[in-house]
Amino acid sequence: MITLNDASNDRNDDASRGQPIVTGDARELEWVRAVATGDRDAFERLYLLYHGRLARFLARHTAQRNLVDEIVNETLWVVWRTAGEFRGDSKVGTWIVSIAYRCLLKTMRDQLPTHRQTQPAGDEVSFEEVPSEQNEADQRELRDWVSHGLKLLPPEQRMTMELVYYFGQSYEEVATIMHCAVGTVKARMFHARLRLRNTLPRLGGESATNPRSAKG
Amino acid sequence: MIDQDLSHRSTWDLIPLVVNGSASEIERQHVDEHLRVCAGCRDEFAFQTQLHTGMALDSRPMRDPHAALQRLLRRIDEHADDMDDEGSVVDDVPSPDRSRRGMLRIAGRRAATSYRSGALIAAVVAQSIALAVLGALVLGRFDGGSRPSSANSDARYETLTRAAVPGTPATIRFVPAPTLTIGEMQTLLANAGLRIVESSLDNSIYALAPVSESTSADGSARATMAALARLRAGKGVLLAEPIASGADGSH
Repeated sequence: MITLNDASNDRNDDASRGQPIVTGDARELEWVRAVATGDRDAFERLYLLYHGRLARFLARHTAQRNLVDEIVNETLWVVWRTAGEFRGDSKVGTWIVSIAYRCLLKTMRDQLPTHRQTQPAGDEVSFEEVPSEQNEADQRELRDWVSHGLKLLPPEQRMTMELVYYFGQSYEEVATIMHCAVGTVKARMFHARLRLRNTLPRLGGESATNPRSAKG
Repeated sequence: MIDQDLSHRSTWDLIPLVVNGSASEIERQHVDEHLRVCAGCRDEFAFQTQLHTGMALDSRPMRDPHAALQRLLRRIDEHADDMDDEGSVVDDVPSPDRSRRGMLRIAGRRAATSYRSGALIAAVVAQSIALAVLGALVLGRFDGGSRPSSANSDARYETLTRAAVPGTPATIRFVPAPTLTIGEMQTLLANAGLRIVESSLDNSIYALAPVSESTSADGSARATMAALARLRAGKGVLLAEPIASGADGSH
């Protein structure tokens, strides 16, 4: 699982910089406070911590790598400019993902329909998947199945599912990010799960119980 | 039965949170207990776990973030330069390192913002004081400095829906020469300490009253005669005569 509090992917960055490994919300909050005073070192740490996570998240919605970098930079640009306004009411990760979410929506609207395509156009650089090892065939199949299922979901349900499973956000945090009620988040998750159960039967198995019974 | 349904539904909602690690310990225990007795939810838990695992399996390589970071830092520099060009207060430090310079720029911008905010507040306070003084002067002028503030309601203007308020009784009848300009007449009346309280329809005959009212009848008569003398001494006066007051003070 990749969560906002898991800094495992960024340990190499920290180690290469000769700095102690940084984990946890408190540390990120400390960086944001420093960024608010114009501390570029703190900003670079925050940038490197979130770049990969945001880029992978955004790459699920566009195949154009340049556009992904653009949205990531726009997100962190907003972070740089508004760090002083962050009151700490939510986790730093929720705040940053919320900004990225809005930047993504804005970019999608502005670029429609050019950049909503999933295939790269012209000389745009695309994300090319690294050939998996032969013994990772099962994982690759699972990944492809899940990716296929997610693409069949309505955008709101897909986004909700990704925020919960990719960023490890709670329902309340997703509601904050998507500017909707917690009940709406639960409903979107519920229907997304039902759809995925119907579109990905192989994941559920032949003996899967009908999830509609969960409605009680 | 109802309790079982509630447990089933709440477990269904909590499964993703247990899978993504954001569930509390109590929520996790609740799910664990329910999964022990509910095969359907166990299956759903396994399904969601696979979904979560599949979403985490992302082999897409990310480019070196440092190149994008440098682009963003250049943008920040350019923005800071723009702020400097707009007149922000920024210390000119010789050969500062980038971090230090960035911090100074931010501090400079905030100092400038703070300065502007302070100046704005001072301007608002000064304007408020000026308005208060002006208001006091205006009220004092209309009140004559002696009437209570409640007399403000007797302001000397009329509206179509309001009954006419009896004005100051005229004490002098005045007929100006046709050649007398408005400016000259204003000067003439100001020098005599008089003001117009009534006029004929064709503005050829005016009724005047002293600018400052006297509190006694004798004083009022003396003031009227003095003003009449000053008026008559002026040029362009065809007629200037006192108006005889009636027993009830009307004319």
